[in-house]
Amino acid sequence: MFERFREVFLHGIKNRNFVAGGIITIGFFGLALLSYVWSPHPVENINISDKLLSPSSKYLLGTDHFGRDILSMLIMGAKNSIIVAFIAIGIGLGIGVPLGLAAASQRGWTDELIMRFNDFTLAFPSLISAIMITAILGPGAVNSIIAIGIFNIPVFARVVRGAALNIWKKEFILAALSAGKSKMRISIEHVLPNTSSVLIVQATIQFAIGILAEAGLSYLGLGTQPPAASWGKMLNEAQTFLHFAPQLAIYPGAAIAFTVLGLNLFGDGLRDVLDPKLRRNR
Amino acid sequence: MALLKVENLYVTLNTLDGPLQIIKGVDFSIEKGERLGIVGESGCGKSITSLAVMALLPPGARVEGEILLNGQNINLLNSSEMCRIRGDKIGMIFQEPMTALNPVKTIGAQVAESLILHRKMKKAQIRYKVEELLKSVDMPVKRFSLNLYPHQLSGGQRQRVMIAMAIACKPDILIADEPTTALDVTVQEQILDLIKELAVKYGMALIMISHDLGVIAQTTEKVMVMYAGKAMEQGRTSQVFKHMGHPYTHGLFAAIPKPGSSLIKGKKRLSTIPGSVPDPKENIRGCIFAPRCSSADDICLKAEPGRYFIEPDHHIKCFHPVLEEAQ
Repeated sequence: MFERFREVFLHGIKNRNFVAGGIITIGFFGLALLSYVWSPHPVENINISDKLLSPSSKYLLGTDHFGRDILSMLIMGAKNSIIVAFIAIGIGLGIGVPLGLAAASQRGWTDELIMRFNDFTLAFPSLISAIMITAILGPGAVNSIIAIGIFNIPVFARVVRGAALNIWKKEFILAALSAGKSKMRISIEHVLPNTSSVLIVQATIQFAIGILAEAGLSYLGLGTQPPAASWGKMLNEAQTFLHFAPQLAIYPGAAIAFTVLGLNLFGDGLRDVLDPKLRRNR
Repeated sequence: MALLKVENLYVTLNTLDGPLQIIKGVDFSIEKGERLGIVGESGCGKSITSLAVMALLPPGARVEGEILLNGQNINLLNSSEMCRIRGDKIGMIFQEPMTALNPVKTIGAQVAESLILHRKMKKAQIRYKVEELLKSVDMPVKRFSLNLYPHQLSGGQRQRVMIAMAIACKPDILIADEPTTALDVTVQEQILDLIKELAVKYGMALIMISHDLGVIAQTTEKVMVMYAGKAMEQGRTSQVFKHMGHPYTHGLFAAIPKPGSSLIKGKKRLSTIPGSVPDPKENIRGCIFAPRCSSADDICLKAEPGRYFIEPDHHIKCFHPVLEEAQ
């Protein structure tokens, strides 16, 4: 296992996408982890006398219209979007992967049923449906996790099914069948490990999409609720002051753009690194 | 009672062109510890026959006839009952050692699989047993770690691991489907010797599937010659090789280049069987080999030949047996 990581790393550092995306992603995660041990100021602190300050030694990136420290809010926002995107991916993996594996191993009507249901779910525009779900369930971080997670399910199911169908054609599956293994066991023990690289890459991409979706939902006021900080919420509040305090919108906007860019680059690079056929030194 | 008795086996596969009958009535039987060879050209149904016995045909395939294992018709079993037979009672070795091992699992884990499945052993026991198995296929643990991955082994070594996997539970029957086709000649010899040795040592019946008459001669006691989904000639290997009776078998033997003959010196062309294997879609009346057979006449095109016994346990399906000694 360690050897595998080493191999991926050694090939990875030659890949520009992987390195650039990796650094941004690590920085983003580092920021989020930092929030657990330290943040410059508590984000709940409203200090009207310090409102809309420019950057200073006390407030490194300045303050917003309530006098809250922008840097602290960015750090807390990073933590919140990671939690939302992470759990949403967990939902997608936890339900989508078994469905995809079952579809690939059973074929026939099971496959049809699962995939047509998939198509049905994918036919809805995900963000708009997420808005609908949060509108029904009520706004909040948990409900936005559910809304985003539901739309991860068909994505993972489809990706896993495609990869698994390929694996099922391999001779070692026939060998495993001839050893007396059941289809379910083969799916878990032989097919799943062989699809892990596509899954990892897809998870990275879904992570970026999840962060965007979370920002979108909280921008609309349906996601993370105050006083907790969220990048989308910061953008929303900055709107009012766009003309005389544009930095309020620029900081969270840049944070979202960079993080998504970083994760997409990382996912792209990871795909190239994990698939020997795509492995070229760029 | 025969260990495995296959009677009136018909296999129909579902293809894009609709159902195609690939196996058209095959009978054979094999006793405990006996070694049977199935020989024929590509597409004659050798592999399909073995996959039908294992019930591993692709979905939509229809298997008719009786496959009696120790008197029990395994063609009637459901999939979970069949899982208990595969690997435990019947083991199988595949053609491509390069793809028949899972690339992401260690060889130790792969050999252990059927032991865990069928024998429910404890961990320490399994480790000991796996080491013993790898030793029996000449891969001593002193030199080969159980933690190696398939890509770290050569083709011959991978085939040895495959064999260890197939014999892990000491099955009654070992099916080897062209086990040496993907290997080079020297390794081929070693693997064939190993398979034969293990079959004798553990008293396993062996079904050796090959298109290579040399492989069949080297490893088997009984042989069945197949053509276009039918058994053309069956008998003791020594009898069939010495005085074959079916024109098709003659054709197969004539197509082997012989050292020292004028062919090798470049004077004569290798003799071949004219024409090609019939399309399974065609519905041929009479003897299926008749269109390519030099001794075929009217009756061959009209009626299907029954069994003609050359010796007590050596029969062919032909109206006009060619009974001269082989060259």
